[in-house]
Amino acid sequence: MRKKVFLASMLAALSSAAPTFSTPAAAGEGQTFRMIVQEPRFMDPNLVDDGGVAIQTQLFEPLAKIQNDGTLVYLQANSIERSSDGLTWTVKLKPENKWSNGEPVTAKDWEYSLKRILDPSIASGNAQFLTEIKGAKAYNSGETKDASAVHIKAVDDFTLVIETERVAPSFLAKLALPYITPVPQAVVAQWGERWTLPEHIVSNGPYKLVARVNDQSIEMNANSFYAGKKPTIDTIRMTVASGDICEAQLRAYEAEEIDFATCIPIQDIQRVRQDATLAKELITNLDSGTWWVQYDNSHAPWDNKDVRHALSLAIDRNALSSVISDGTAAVANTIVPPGIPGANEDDAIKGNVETARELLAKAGYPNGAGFPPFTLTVRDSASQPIVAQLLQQMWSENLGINATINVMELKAFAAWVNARKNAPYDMITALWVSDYADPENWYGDLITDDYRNSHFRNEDFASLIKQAKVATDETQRIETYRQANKIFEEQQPMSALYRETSLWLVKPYVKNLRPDTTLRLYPIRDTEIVR
Amino acid sequence: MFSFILKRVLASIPTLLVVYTVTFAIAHLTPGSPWDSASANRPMEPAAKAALDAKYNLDAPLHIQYVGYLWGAVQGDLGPSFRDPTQSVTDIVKKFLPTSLALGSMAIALAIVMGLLLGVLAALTRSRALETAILFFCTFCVSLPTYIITAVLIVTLGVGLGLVPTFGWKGLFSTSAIVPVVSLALAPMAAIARYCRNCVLEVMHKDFVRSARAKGVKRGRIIAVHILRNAIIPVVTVAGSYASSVLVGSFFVESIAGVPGFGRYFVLAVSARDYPVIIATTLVYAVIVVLCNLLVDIAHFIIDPRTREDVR
Repeated sequence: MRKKVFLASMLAALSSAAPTFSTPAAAGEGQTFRMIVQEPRFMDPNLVDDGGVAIQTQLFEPLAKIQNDGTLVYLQANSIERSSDGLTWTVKLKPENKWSNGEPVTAKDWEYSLKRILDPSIASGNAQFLTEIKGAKAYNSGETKDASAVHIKAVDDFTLVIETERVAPSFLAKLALPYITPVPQAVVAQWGERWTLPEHIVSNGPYKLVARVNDQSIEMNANSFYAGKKPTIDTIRMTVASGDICEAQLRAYEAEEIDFATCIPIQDIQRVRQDATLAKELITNLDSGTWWVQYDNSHAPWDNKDVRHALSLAIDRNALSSVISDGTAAVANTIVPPGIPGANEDDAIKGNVETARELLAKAGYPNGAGFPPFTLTVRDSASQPIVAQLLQQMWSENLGINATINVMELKAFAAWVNARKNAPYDMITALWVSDYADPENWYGDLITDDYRNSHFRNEDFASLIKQAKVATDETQRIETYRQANKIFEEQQPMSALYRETSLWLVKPYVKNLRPDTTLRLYPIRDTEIVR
Repeated sequence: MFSFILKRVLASIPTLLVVYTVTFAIAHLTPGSPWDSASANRPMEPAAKAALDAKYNLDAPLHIQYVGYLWGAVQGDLGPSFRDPTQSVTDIVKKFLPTSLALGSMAIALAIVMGLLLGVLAALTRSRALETAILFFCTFCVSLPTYIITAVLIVTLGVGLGLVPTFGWKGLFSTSAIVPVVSLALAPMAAIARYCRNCVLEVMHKDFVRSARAKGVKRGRIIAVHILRNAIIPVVTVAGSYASSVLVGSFFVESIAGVPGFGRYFVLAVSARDYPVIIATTLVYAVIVVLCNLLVDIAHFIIDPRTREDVR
């Protein structure tokens, strides 16, 4: 008897180990799209401020989007208009928009959501896109606890009025970000933090979440209440991977288990490009982002422009790209990527290794003699330790200076860089990816607000950025940024290295899967499976 | 027997307390906070960080946090997960531990059965070639790291032959379990086989085996009753120590094969600086090690009459 009880309890334990997958769609019921993703940090769209937005973008829809060619396409909004003084933005919502439970998406939902993003108690990283709104900074920094002091107002069911503190030409681009989406006020109020569980969540995008097993799987079905273009694919089945997601994707892709892979492990790029079948299924998209090496501009020897120029000119960027990406990454000679107004590759500093040696000698370090020992700190990713070794070798061979490499675990690195606000360091490698295709995202957020602690100070540059930030004349605004870019590259507070190319593998029967907007997301709504 | 178990259980309390203290200290000393994002473009606003610290009591002095968490844990409340606020740590343990336990039990059962078979075969075979082949195979299995075995199995069985999925988990009784079970089983199987072979060789030349043979007892009965029963005692010790590490799951095997198990979750929690999950998973691991050791002692108690004398 005891044996039977034991066996029964073992069987119960074993069966509880099986995942609670939703019933898969039988053949003929509709199209299923299969892919592997990383476990999202958040399922709450107001909190997602990282790569998890690729998952969220299938579920939640923003007001509009700015396409790769710069044109604005309205999604949840019918129109977004700016008042003649440039301070008031009126958003007219499409009345036919519905949540996945059939309830209408109202201006009240939007007001609630935008204020929720700004609420410091939920600590959303997206608050920084909305700080130009009147009263937003004070509320977000905890100065005032009164959300009604933030000038976001639903004036009727489908009209939202937003006032900005001052003229903010780039505000439209921020409002159109995929990070800025609504959440259903009633559902969040009812369930609190647990509103994102599949049994509670409702969404306003083309898909709705139907099942999720943490760290295992995410399943979405087409949202029948979605008012926009109906998706052809009924079900999206995402398997969650941890560790090296690129390896898991490539194996599963080759075994026909998934239809789409978003990256290829460094060591497999060459094989994939030489494989007759895989090479045909490879889609490359240059990312709007740059990796660079950054000096602590606040102290010697890095406060000397000649030193910065010398180090930059001594780098063989083609060799970097070749080693870390089999040459698929694009060589970057300037920080702000092409496609961002104001960027200009011609502003790159000119010269070669010989010039670099002369500049280093001019700075007082002929052949590297007397150059202080320094440390290059990088994150422990697949590419950065290799990049660090290559830079170390290039500087040693070309300039006779010696770098020590310090590799840090990802979170430790992030914390360490954030802590460099008032602490000196030598140099790091860093990355910025455009959130939106406006120069302010680079010259303002990254460089002037100094998110990576480069400690770059230049009065001419700062004054130009200040002018551009409030310029209402678009041509004048871009021209001002163009001038700023010249100064920035000439000063060389950071030296661009390369721009990554996304390497996608897409099965031939998958049609219309394209990178969308500056963030290179992939709206599965527009994708079809044609066998 | 009962007082023996009680004594062992009581002795484990200081062990668990030391484990808690060390884990708490290491988790909090590791650079990087739960709120530093490794992937976001921007650093977190100080006001937002302060709000989160206050929400999860991380603004309290460390000794208050130390006592507070311990007091909660004693009452069965392991706290919320920082990485996923929709789940409590208790939910996480309940969700992920059974998968690893089931996978580990299957692997260790396979290891014991195959290990004993191979060990006995290697000891009793008259073929020198077979014995060498088994020993070589065992050395090979023990020396290869599990992540290599897992990757090789996935590439050959999954990508190459299409027999098993390359990634993901559909339960213990599915093809998705083959790779993780075999990967986890190989090293303990090889260790058990080698121990078993050595013990069988030692026992088969003992006087009582010779007497049994002289009395005309059948070969099968000699092996099963006289040799194996005695040879199995050290094997139980080896199996026990492997069981404790296999049962809680291996990060490498679970990550590479996509098994949502406890080992993988533990490492994800470390990367996320999810303090409550790190502490709770380490404590659960410690409890399992203590339990496995206790089970080994009980097994010795049952198999080996001499142990009973010692306890008395």
